[in-house]
Amino acid sequence: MFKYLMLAGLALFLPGLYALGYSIFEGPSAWMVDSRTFWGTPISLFVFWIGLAHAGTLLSAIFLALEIKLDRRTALIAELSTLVCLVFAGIFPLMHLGVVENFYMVMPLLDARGNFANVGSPLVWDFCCIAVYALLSLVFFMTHLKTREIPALDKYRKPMAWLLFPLVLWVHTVVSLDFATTFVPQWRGAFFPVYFIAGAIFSGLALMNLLLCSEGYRVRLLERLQLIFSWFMCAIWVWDLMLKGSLCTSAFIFAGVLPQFRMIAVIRENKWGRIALSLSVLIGLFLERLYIVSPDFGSCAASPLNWIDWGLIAFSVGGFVLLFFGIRRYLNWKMEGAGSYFGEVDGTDLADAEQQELEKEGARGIAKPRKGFYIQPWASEEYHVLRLPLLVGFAFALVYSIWVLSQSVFANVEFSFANIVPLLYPVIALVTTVTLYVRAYFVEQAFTLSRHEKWASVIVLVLVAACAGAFFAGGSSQNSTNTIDSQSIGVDAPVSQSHARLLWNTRCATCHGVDGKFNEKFVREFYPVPQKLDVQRLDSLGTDSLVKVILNGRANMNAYAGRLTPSEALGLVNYMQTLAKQATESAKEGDNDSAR
Amino acid sequence: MRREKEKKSRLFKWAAICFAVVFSFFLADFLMGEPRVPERAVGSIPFDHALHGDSIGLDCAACHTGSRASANAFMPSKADCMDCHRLPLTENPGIETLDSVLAKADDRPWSHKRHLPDHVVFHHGVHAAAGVACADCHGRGYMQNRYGAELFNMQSCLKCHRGETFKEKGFKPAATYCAACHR
Amino acid sequence: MGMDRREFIKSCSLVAVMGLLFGCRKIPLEELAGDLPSLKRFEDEVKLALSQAKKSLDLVKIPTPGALKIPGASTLNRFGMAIDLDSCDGCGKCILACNLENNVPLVPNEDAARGRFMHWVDMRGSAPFMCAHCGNAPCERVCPTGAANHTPDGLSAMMYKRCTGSRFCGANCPVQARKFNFNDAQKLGLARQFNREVPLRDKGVMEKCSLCLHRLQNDRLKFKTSLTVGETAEEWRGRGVKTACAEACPKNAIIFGNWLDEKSPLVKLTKNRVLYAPRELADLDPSVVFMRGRR
Repeated sequence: MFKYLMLAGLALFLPGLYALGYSIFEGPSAWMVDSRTFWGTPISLFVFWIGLAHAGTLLSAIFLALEIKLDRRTALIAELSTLVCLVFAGIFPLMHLGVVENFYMVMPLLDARGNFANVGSPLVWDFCCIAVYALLSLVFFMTHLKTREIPALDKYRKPMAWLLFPLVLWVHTVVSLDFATTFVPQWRGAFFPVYFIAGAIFSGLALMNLLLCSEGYRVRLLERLQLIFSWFMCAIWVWDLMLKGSLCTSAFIFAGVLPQFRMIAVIRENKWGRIALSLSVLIGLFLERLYIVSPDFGSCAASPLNWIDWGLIAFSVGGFVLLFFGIRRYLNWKMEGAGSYFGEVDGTDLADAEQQELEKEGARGIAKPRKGFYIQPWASEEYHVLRLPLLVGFAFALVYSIWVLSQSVFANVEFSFANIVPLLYPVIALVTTVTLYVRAYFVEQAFTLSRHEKWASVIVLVLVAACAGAFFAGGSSQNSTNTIDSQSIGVDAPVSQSHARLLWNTRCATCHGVDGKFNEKFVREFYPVPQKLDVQRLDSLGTDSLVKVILNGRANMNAYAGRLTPSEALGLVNYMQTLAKQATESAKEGDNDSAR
Repeated sequence: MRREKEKKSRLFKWAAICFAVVFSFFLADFLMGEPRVPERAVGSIPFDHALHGDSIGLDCAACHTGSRASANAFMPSKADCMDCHRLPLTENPGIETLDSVLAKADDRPWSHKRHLPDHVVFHHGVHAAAGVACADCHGRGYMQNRYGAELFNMQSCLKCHRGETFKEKGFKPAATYCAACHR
Repeated sequence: MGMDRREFIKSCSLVAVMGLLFGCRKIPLEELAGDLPSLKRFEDEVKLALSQAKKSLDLVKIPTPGALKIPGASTLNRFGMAIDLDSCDGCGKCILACNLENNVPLVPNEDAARGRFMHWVDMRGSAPFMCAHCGNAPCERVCPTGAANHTPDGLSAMMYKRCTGSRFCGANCPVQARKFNFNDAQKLGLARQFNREVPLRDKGVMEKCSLCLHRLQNDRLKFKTSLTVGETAEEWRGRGVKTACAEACPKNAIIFGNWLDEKSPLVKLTKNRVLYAPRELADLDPSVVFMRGRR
């Protein structure tokens, strides 16, 4: 089974990889976009895969937080699928950029040029939210894996689940805001966050059920949830139809109508029936994503996908299969205690798993509330664990928002605190997690790292710092194609007095001085003394001959004909005369002063 | 004794990790950032700024003719050199070599590739009119024939435009929006 | 299969790498022209664009633009344009002038056939239409890097080097005034730098009407150079600057100027006229307006 899955994955992945390479090289012209829609398959795939990623967290983290019993195996599969989906959800926004190497400019941090991203833009929120979400999901997954060896880590699972719970909703709300904050009429709607979250959870449940089918067992709760969400989605679609008069019929059929067949026992009891139901949901929701992103399609069934688009789809599906089943197999096989790493429970229903979990927890002595017994949130164990890290997180977020608001790049932008709010929860969650685990390791010594793991974390830290440095530096500018040369002669046009003054100070002042007398420092030592430029002398020579002197040169003065235009020479002569007049006037004042 | 040694080795480990992290940040910044301005080749004419500056009463604009009124400061053409060097200026025997080199030189001996990227608009004249002295940006390194461009990056421009540096000079507040200096 | 797992994984990764590299190799779409495209090709492309009628704008009345409402806005300068629909006859000379002034690239034949040009000025119906430089621009709001931003003197500026090509701004412009460089015009021999003052754009960046920013910049720099330090300075008002389209219009139907300068031809010539803007932009405080009829 594993072999066939991997072969199928490869068969999809390899051509997909070729399509990906081609897309990155050719840029956005490769897939079907036009000047009206601008986004296409890559963004549809992005929204699709990030939606699938949420379901993993929904199931493991949210169920854990809400104390809905889920067996270890299902939870770990969910968490692993989140991580693998996030890999693909991260690739697509990067490869769809027109200038991929400028992606670092989206980071909401100051760079070496003094630039700052526009934190009021939904794409910046996207970038941060998804990055933090990926990191936290990874930490959550690894904690869960390790609880088999280090039971003390179990204390941190629920607090992490509580951190991840709002993060899931937050991330997909931000993704929906990518669309809902725009002017595109089809993307308008305050209900977009709810719409997207419902779609995400629905598709994620379908993926989970599909994966559980491949594992060889089923969890009836998840299948029932899938049915319920299909009703919810149908309600939203009908609402959208009434509001905007548009409906993606193929999505409705695949993800709205066909899943209802779960109610027929024959289909749901048959493994292939369940696989068909889940696949139908996934196909329908992908078509719906295509329809949302490219609203000018018309009927989305007739969408003109070219081979690149199909290649990108194949890339993500094949890649998911390879990565998910590969990692699953590796963990099972390479890690100690093969076969029980995921808490392999053999084809049981949830009820049995529930029973086992209860027994296990009873053995560990963790207090569990009896049904109907209410604990104040701040008396709960999770809160005690999270208190200090959350405080640190909030403090950091406050400092960060103050810092962002003070950036001078936003001086000409209508910018308020409300624009940063979508960034804050990821910041809080990140700092809280880091504080939590640092405290767990150093202060409470809840877990130890093997030598191997210590080296790995130091190397990761160094790599993160290097990435930060690269993002900070931001790449080098293109070299100029121009040459610096000597000044060419200008166009012959009349010259203003201020321009003549500048010309004089540049060309003439070296010898004749800024005031028209002479430059004492230069002239005395190095050069023969120039003629006095007083009013009588200038008047006696006349403007025309003075202009000729400038252009053709004189005894100790080179010609300026190729360097100054006749109009510039005329301007200089006029300025010279002004200087001479000023000189006589100040001389007169000087005489008057001395006479007094 | 052993506990002290353990403490010391732990401290050392932490110091080493901190150093590695900070070092990798700056290394990445260095490798990925703007390349340093290359030292320009001397060119065919041996020119020494130390002999041509304030000490003999020459203003920068005498040779760099655009530095008061144009965008580009320009390099002097041979004609600009000959304005003074038409006569033997000193009794120093080296002057004969200089004169013969000048006689054979190109009309534009110092043409070179512009270092500033094309999308940056920098106007020398505007800065001179605002009272910025040549040495404020180019430093006094020109005495050693250095361009001073090691100081030039967008951050240093922005700092002065925002009034964070050169406070003592009292410059008028300068434009800080992108389109003021970029195209 | 005869090989063991390790060899299988090795050969798979080798194939994967080759697949990726193979996909990345350059597939020449059009051989590099070698020569630069001729002026005639640019003129022909404009003629083609004119022949493909685009939907007319849905115009609504708007009040005269006043000062910008963004923080730090200049109280002296707000540049804009008014297009006189009573005088305009749809000749398209403005489009050609803009293309040559701003080095707007040609497009490959299949894009031209579908009416997807890079021209900054489009003929919508019989009215020339370009970016309206909205005071409350939806494109600037969503640009993740800040490449689309507003100057204090009223231009919606586009900084090509800061653009990462996310095309969010293009998606959010209600009137599709923005153009994306899908192709590497220089490599394909479709671009020519007629005007050295304006840079050629890379592949993957957005571009749009810049209200001839380079002309405004040059004028401002020249003005500031001639000021003497310490003297009382007149402020720069951009008088005498004209955009390329305004210069080229034989009927003087395009008027460029400063909404906040009573001496500007823009203010003088729009005084008694009724001003219009596309319905989608009416609430966004556009700087580039249409006029028709008298008050």
